[in-house]
Amino acid sequence: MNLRDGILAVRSSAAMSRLHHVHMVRIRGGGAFDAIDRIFTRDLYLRDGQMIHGLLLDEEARVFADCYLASDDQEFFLLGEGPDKHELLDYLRRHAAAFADVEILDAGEGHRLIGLDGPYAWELLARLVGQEVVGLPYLTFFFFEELLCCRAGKTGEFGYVIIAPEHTADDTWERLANAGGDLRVAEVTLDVLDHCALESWFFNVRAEGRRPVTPLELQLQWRISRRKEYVGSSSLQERRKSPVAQRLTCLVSDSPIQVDDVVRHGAAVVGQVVNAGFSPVRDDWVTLALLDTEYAYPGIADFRVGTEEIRARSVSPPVVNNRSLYVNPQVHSYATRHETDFPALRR
Amino acid sequence: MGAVCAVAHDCAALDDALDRGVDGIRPILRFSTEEFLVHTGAEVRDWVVQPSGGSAAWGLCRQFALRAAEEAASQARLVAGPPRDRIGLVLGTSLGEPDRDVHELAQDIAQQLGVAGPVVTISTACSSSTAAIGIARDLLAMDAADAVITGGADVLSPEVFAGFHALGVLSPGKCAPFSEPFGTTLGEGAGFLVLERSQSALARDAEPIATIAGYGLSADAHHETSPDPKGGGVYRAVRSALIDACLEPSDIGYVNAHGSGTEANDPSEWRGIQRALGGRASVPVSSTKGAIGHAQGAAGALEAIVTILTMRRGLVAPTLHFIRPRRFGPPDPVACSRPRPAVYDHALCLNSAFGGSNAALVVSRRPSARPEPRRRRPVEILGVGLVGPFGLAAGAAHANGLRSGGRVPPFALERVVPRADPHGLDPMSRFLTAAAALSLDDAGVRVTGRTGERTGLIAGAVRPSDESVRAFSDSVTERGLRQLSAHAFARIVLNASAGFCSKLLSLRGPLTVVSVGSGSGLAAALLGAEFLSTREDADLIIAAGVDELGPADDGEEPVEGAACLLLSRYGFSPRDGRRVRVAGWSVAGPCALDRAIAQVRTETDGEATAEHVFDERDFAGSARPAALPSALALAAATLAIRRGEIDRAWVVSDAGCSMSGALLLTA
Amino acid sequence: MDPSLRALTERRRAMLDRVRTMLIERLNLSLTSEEIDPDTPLFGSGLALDSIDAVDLVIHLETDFGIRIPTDQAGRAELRTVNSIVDLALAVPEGPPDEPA
Repeated sequence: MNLRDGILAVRSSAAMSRLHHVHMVRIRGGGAFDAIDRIFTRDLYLRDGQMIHGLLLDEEARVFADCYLASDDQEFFLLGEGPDKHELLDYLRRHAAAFADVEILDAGEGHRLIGLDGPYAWELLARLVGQEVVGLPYLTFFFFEELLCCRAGKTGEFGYVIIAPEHTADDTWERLANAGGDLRVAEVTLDVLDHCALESWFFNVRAEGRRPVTPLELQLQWRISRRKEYVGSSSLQERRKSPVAQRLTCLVSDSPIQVDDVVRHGAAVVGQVVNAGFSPVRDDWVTLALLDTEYAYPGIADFRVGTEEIRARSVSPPVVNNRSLYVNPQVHSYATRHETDFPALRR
Repeated sequence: MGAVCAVAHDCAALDDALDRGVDGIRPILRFSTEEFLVHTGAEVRDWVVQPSGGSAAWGLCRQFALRAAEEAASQARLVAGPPRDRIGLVLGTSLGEPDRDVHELAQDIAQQLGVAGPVVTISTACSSSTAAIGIARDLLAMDAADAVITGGADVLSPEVFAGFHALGVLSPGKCAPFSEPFGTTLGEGAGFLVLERSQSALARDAEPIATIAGYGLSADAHHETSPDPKGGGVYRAVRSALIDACLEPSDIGYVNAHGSGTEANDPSEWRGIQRALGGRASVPVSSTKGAIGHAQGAAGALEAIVTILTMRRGLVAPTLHFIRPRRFGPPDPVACSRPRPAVYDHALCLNSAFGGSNAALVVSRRPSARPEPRRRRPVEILGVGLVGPFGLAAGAAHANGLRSGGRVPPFALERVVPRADPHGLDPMSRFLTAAAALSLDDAGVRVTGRTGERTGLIAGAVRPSDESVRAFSDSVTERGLRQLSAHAFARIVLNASAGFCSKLLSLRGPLTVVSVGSGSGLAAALLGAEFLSTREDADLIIAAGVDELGPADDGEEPVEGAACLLLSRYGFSPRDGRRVRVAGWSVAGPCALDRAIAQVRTETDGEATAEHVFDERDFAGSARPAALPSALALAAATLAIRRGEIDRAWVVSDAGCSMSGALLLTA
Repeated sequence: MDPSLRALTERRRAMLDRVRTMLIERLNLSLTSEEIDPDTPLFGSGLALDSIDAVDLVIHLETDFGIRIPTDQAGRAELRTVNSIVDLALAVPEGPPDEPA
């Protein structure tokens, strides 16, 4: 399936994906809470069955991984993307070494992760795991037989991560695909998910996350704690002493824009593009650029980007009107979608 | 039974209204709804305002309650019944009479009716009277009374209307449970039942109308105003009620659901019911709120009365205004305008509330097969947690420090409950949560998944958080009713802090809030001990007394804070250490403390060793009713025994006009 | 930087500060203004406001900024990030109630 069709499937019905780029780690032991509290960027205000979306930083406060942390009875599990599995495990073990009674286990061994995203993703998943998933709040999870179903996603639509034991993973995939025939469920790859994240203002650790900047420049302060110490927090404290020099800003344009293109305003060079893609929903180009803070505001109309000096304007993201905002599982369904006058997808 | 609601001023009229299929939902007349988007409610109509008989400034809530209670007492021929000091009153209310503490309503009704036995108020917002009926049943089983008048009352005030309106949960039309449009319609009124033990009733030729076979309580531990979407709380409450009634899910022939009609309640409630009844889709499930609106604290009692009235006549009550089913709802919502024929022996009555407090009653046509009197198992105190002017303290605290008044110094809740987001909590919620966590730590108990479902919280309180009440009234003064603070509205009910505490600590077992004025903390412990001693559905109950001082309370030296005692069933002790046994407990009417003590002596037949008495009055800094001092007294006694200073202690309370209570602790 | 652009960004920054102050005070957020990035989401992630916060937010948008949000879902969808509130506030014709003339 091509990129365009995949994006449209995520935006209008449901899409399945194999989440090879996400690694699952289990953390247990009496010292687990204290260890994670010192590693993970967010305050661990979470109860059994809940998840929290945060980061793992390096000592210079640059992003190492984009992670969900979940509390599962006496243990935690982490779903991380950015580094490969060994890098992630190594990082966690290294930073947890100072704590006693902590076990860091590779849960990817023996499990596979399936993503399900779209305004009717809940409808498809319910056919597999029952109606309970319909009421599942964002960033919570529950068990259905051998499947662990988390409500989490980065496309701005209803999103779920299904963690299946190795021996049932293929079967689970097949059953989802078969159950979703009338929903026109699509099988999509990572580039589709990345593009949808771009349109919906979800941080992409593999794009903007690879730049030598901190959560301050990336507008990710909501994902870091101000009250505790964790890996990278002292660097952040140092950085906060002076005003941030650049900020991640969203631009849109009618002509193609590439990653690394230089952004100008008038005669001045004001930044660089770090993420870009063509939006079939909007029929224009959506980009993220690190701009000098004095230019990092929405509503500026005449940026010039790249050697061709493509005209771009800054906007407030997200740039799509996610259908999922309007779909109410208590009332709507894919089959009856035409009976409701949903607002247009383009913002 | 006695009832006052939007369609009737007594039970006969209510029965008649049910038969005629009428509803009491009409444009609100008592106050202006011009600025709101909704204009309908289920007000009690054509009410002739009664003279207050001496005491001034009693309003409609008390009048409704008095009328319904009098009707019930009269039907039960209570004048020819047990002696006055053996008749009790348990009243459920959400907000009671405006500008009064909630416990004052029950005290006044008791006085008017000449009831001199124990008087208890249960205040858990919309599940209040359902729980009240269950607890009344417990008072009988404890032999604290021979008859108990029980039920609930609430009035449809402009503030409540504005609060529900702000939350966006009011229906633009008439409340249509399990159907459309989404939304509820507020109502009001009062409903009362007179409960008696079957032998006692038969002995005086009083004919039983129905039997309260069992009840269950639970907490959602989810959110201040939205129910747990998985229906877990409802599921646990129903399961507990069935176990208490010694019945199977298949024995239930009808469910009278909370069915408020809101978008959030109905599907999640149905999920809980379905799970609890083993997926039996065919049981008729209806909601009375289409007829009488959502009567708030009185809903449970009124809906139980409707259930009894119809059950006796071989009928099930209908769900009115049912146009078409919602996506997730009962297949048989009894969608008609009049009761439908059905013969069944047992019904479930359910209610859910803000703060996640659920209650379920099993109502049966005939007396239950349940053996009486109940087997009582020993109960122990495993942990003590304290928050007060002395700061935070647990098992190692010294008893003498607990007798001084004053305010709680600032403290960091995260130190005690690392996983709790402390921001946005009012002081009362912080005190209660911290003290509860300290009591668990003191006992070495960690609450996780399964333990959490069997750990409950019974909080004794007199007033909701002063800070929240002022935030609410300030928002009304500054911005008017139309734009009051929805946050503050959710916190003016007495059970708000218990709801937060249960959520932050994941306590999903029985949850209720009791108020008797002074002595509320001890009352919570007495009810908690009875609960653990006689039931299978909980292993641990945190019994608490909590008070928050307002800025005006600086005259005398009252104390603020919270005291939590972790009670456990015998045999559930995760670590060694000097456990304190709750050897006996008893409840009696006001000024009958010696009666309560005597009853405990009889039950425990203890030797005449030196006894120490911890009286609530020694821990109270002022005459104003307070919940905390009696809980502090209990904590002090527990700590003294733990430290080996004494072997036995009485903890007593008789400071208010509601009830006297005595609890005997031994090493 | 040209003066008209500077004026635009100044206006934007001033309104952003007002919006952040309103959020902190009215919704009782335990954050400082600088800690709230301009494009922080309001619901779901970001500030993770709940349904009760949403009610109070809509009230304060009207009383403090003159922004009227319809109470249905369509209205809620306008409120995505802190910047989206700034967009709405800057678009109010007469200017917000307590802005100096």
